[in-house]
Amino acid sequence: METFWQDVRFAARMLAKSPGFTAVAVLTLALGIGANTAIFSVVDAILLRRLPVDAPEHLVVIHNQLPKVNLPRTEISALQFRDYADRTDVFESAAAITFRNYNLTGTDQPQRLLGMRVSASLFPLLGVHPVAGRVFTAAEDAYGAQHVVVLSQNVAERMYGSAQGSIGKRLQLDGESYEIVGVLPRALEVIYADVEFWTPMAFTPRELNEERRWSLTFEMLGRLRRGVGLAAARATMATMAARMNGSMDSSMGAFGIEVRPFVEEHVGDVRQPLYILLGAVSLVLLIACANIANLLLARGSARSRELAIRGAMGAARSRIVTQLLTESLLLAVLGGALGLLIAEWGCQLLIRMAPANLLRTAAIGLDPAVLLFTLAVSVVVGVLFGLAPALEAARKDLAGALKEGGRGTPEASGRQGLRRALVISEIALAIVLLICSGLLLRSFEKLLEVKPGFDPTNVLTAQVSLPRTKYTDEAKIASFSDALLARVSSLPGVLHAAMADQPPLTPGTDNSVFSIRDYHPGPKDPQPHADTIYTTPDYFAAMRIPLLQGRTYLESEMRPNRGPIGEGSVVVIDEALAKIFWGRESGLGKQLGWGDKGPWATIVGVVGTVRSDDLAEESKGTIYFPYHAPGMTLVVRTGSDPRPFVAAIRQQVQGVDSDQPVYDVKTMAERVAASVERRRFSATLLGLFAALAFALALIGLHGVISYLVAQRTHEIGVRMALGARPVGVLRLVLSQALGMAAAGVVIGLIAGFFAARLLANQLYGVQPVDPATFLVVPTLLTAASLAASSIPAWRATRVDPLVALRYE
Amino acid sequence: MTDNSTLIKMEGVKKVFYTDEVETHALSEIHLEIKKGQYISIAGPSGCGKSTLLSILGLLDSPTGGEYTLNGQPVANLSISERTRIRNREIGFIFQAFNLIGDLTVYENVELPLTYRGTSAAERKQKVQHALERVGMAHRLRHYPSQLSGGQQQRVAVARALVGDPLILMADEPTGNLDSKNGEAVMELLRDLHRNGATVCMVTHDQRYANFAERTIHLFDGRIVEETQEARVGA
Repeated sequence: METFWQDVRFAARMLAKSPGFTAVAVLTLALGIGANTAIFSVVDAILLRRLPVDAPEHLVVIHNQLPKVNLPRTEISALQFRDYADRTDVFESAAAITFRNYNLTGTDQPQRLLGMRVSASLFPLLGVHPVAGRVFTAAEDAYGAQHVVVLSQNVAERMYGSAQGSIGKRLQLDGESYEIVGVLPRALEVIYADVEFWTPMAFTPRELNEERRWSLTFEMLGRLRRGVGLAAARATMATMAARMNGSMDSSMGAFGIEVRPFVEEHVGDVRQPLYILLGAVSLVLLIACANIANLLLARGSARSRELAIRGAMGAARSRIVTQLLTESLLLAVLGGALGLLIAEWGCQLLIRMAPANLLRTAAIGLDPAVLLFTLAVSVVVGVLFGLAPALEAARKDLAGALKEGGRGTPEASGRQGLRRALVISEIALAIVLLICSGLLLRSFEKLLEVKPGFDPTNVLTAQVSLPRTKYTDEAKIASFSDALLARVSSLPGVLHAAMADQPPLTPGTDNSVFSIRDYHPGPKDPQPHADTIYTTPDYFAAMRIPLLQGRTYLESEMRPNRGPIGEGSVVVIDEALAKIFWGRESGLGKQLGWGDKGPWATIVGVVGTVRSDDLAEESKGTIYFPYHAPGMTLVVRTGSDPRPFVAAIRQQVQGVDSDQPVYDVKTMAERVAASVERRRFSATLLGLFAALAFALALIGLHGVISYLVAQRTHEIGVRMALGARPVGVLRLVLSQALGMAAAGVVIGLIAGFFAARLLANQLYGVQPVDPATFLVVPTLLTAASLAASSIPAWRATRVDPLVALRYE
Repeated sequence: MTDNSTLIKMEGVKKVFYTDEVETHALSEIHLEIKKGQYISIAGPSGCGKSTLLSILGLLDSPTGGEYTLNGQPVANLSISERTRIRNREIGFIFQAFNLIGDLTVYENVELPLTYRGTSAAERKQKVQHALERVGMAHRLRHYPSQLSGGQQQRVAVARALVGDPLILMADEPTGNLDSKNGEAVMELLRDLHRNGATVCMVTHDQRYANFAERTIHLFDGRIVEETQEARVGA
C-alpha cells in the first residue's frame, strides 16, 4: 500500500511538472470519456435500466400482423382483445390501452389533456402503485361506470398543489364529470411520457359490436403466466391466428398475431441508432487513447534514463510498469473526473438536441450506474493507453540508457513501429467515423431535397378535437367546422382555410382496406388498401397539393350524417394510388367502396402524391373524402408568416365554442422539420464525433511527425551538411507522413466499407458504398494529414547542420 | 583490508554485440578474480570494453559466454528479475553522469534502492540519514539534484550506492564529469570507504585515479592485457 501511495505521489508530481502535457492529455481524455459517459447515460436510461414495472421480462405486447395490407404490426380491436385474453391460457393477466385526448373544461381556459383509456387490470399487471388514492376497480371498468380518473403526479401537483390534495376532486373531461381517485408515480413517465391522466377502458357497446372486429385501435399488454416462455406464447397465439383465419372471412387477408417483449416494444426502434452512437463515441475514445499512448511513448523516451536508473537501483520491470501505469491511471482518473462534468453538460445538450419522444429525458442523468461506467472506462482507458508505453519503457537496455553521450541512441525500431501503428490506427478509425457520418449527412441532405408533395411555407395547423359527448352527430361537427372555417377564412391575410383529420406529418395514420368496383384481386394479390383522409374542399388549395386530373370536390359534396361513402359520393385519390391500380389509364370515374357490394364513391380527381407519414417514405396511396371527422386539424394558408395568426385563430375557435381547446399548434414547416429531427440528431451527433476523431487523428499525426523530426535532427543535419536541399528534406518528412496516412486510409476504407453496411437501414437515398463519400473522405483526410505534417516538415528544412552536428 | 575470500570470479567471459550482419566482440576471454575488500580499477583507452565489463560485473548486462560467480553464486545466466534482485541488494553504482533522478529530492534519490528492497520507512530514514552523513550531504536532504554542484551530486550518488550496504561498489568514471578539485574529493571519499572495508571496482581512463586502487587491470580491444598488482595507494 505504501508503494502504491508512493507511486501516486510521484505520478502527481510528474504530472504537475509537465502542465502542458497533463492539460492536453486530461482534456483529450475528458472529451473522450465525457462523450462516452453522456451517450452511455442515454443508453443506460433507455436500453439498460429496468423499466419501472414488476418483472418486465414477463410482459409482452400483442399486435396483429396484416401482411396483405402492408401492416406488419398493428393494433387490435376490442373483440380481439377479449378473444386473445380469454381464449388462451398464456396470460396471467392482460390489459387493453388506447391513447385518448380529452378536453378539460371548467378551468380558466379549456385545455387539451393527453390521456389513456386503460383496463383496470393494467396497473396491477405492471405492478405500479399509486402515490395517492387508488387505481381503478374492476367495477369501474364497465361502460357507464367509468367516470373516475387517475392523474399523473405532475398534473396533480400542477393543478392541486399535491398528489393527496387532488383525491376526491372532480374534472370536466369532454363535458362529463370525472372523480379523481388516484395519482400515479412520476416513474411511470419512463413508459408513458406526457400522459397526464388515465380513465377506465370500459369498452362501449359499439366497440364490442361484431361489425367492429377489424376496427384496430387498442394495444394489448399481457403478463405471461409463470412457466410460459415467449416461444410458447408465440406458438399459442399462432395457433389461435391460424384457427381464426380458417373460420372467418377477413377482408384484410390472412393475419397473424405477434407476441413482442414489452421492453422491445419500448426501445426497439431506438436501439440501433443508440448503439451506433455508442460505437462511434467509443471509436473517438480509442483515438484519444492512441493519441495519449503516443504522447506517453515520447515521454517514455525522454524518461528512459530515469527509468534505467531505477532499474539499476533494483526496480524490477513489473515495478517500473506499475509506476508508469499509476501515472496513466491518474491521468485517466483526472480525465474521467473532468469527463463527468463534460458528460453532465453533454446530457443537457443531448436532451435539448434530441427530438421529442426519443429520449426519456426524465431518466437521463449521472446516476450510480453511469458513475460506475465512467470509473470503469477511466481504468480501462488508463491501462489501454498506458500499458504499451510502460512495457516499452521497461524493456529498455539499462547499460545503454545509463551511458552519457549527449545525443541519445536512435529510438528502437520497435518503438517507432508502435508509434506509427498507433497513428495509422487513429487515421483508420477517423476514416470509419467520417465515412459513417458522411453517409448520414448525405442521407439527411437527400431527405431535405425530398419534395413532400405540398407547399409547407405559410401554413398553420392546429388540432381541434370535438368531444363526442357534445358533438353527438356529424351534423353538429359539420356545423362547427363550417362556422369556424367561415370565421377563419374572413381573417385578413388568410388565403385558404380547411379541415382535415390527418394532414401530413401529424401523429397516427388511418390505413383502410377498400374495394374497387369490378376489380377482383387474385389470391396472391394484395388487398387494396390506402391511407384515408377526410377533408373539406379547400384543403388541396390550402396545402397546395397539385390537381393532376379531373377536379377536387365541392362544398355541396360534403356528406354530414351520411358517412364518407354513399349514394352519389365522390372521392379524390393521389397519383400513387392511381398508378397502382390503373397504371397509365385514368382512374377518373372508377368507383371505390368499403366492401365488395358497395355503396360506391366515384373518383372525380387525381392529385399529387403527398409524403404523409415520413419524408423518407413514399406514399402507398391515399384517398381523400369530403367528410367531417370529430378529430380535425385546422389547416390555414396565409399570405405571410402564419405564426402571428395563432392568437386570432384561437379566438375564432373560442368564438364558435368557448369550451373548445386548440392544441398542437404548429406551422407546417415546423412539422416538416420535426419529421426529420431524429435523422438530424443522429447525423449531427455522428458528425460531431467524426469531427472530434478527425481533429484528434491529425493532432496525433502532427505529434508523431514532430517527434520523428526531432529524433532525426542529427541525421537531417548530416544530410544537409552533405548537400541535401530543403525541398529534399521536405519530401523526406512528408513522404513519411503520407506513408502513415495512406496506410490508415486504406485500412479505414476497408473497415468503413463494413461499418457502412451496418448503417444501411439508417440511410435514405444513398447507397452504403456511396462513391462521393468514399472519395471525399480519404481525399480530405490525406490533404489534412499533409497540412498537419507540413509544420514539422518545414521545421526540418530549417535545421542548421552546424547546430545539429555540434553534439557529435 | 581484504579477507582473502573471493567475491567475484570470472572465467572466460565474453560479450558479443550483434547488429544486423556485424558481430562486435566487446569482451573476449576475461579471467578475473576480485577478493572482498579489494579496490580494483579497470583502465584502458576509449572503446576497449571497460564499461561493458563493468556493466556485466554490475549485472546491468549479461555475458555472451563464460562463467561469472558473485559471492559464490553463479550469476551469468540468471533471469532478469533475479539479476535485478541481486543488483538491488549486493551492488552499489556510481556513474560518471551521476544519474540522479531530477524529479526526486536528495533524500528520495538515496532512498530509492531501499524502496525497491521493501525496507520499512523508519529503517529507510535512518539509513538514508547515515549514508548522507558519511558523504557530508545530510544538510541537503530536501534539495533537488539541479540545485547541487556536480561534486555534490556525485556525493549524493555515492550515498545512494552505499545506503543498501552492498557487497561491492561499482564506479564508472566517477570523476569524468567533475573538475579536478571535485574529482579529487570523490576519489578521497572512495578511498575512505575502501579503508572502512568496502570492495570497490572502478572504471577509469585517468591513470592518476587508477593509482588509487590496489590493483589495476588494463584492457585493450576487449582483452585483459596487463594487471598491475600492489599499486601505490594514495597519490
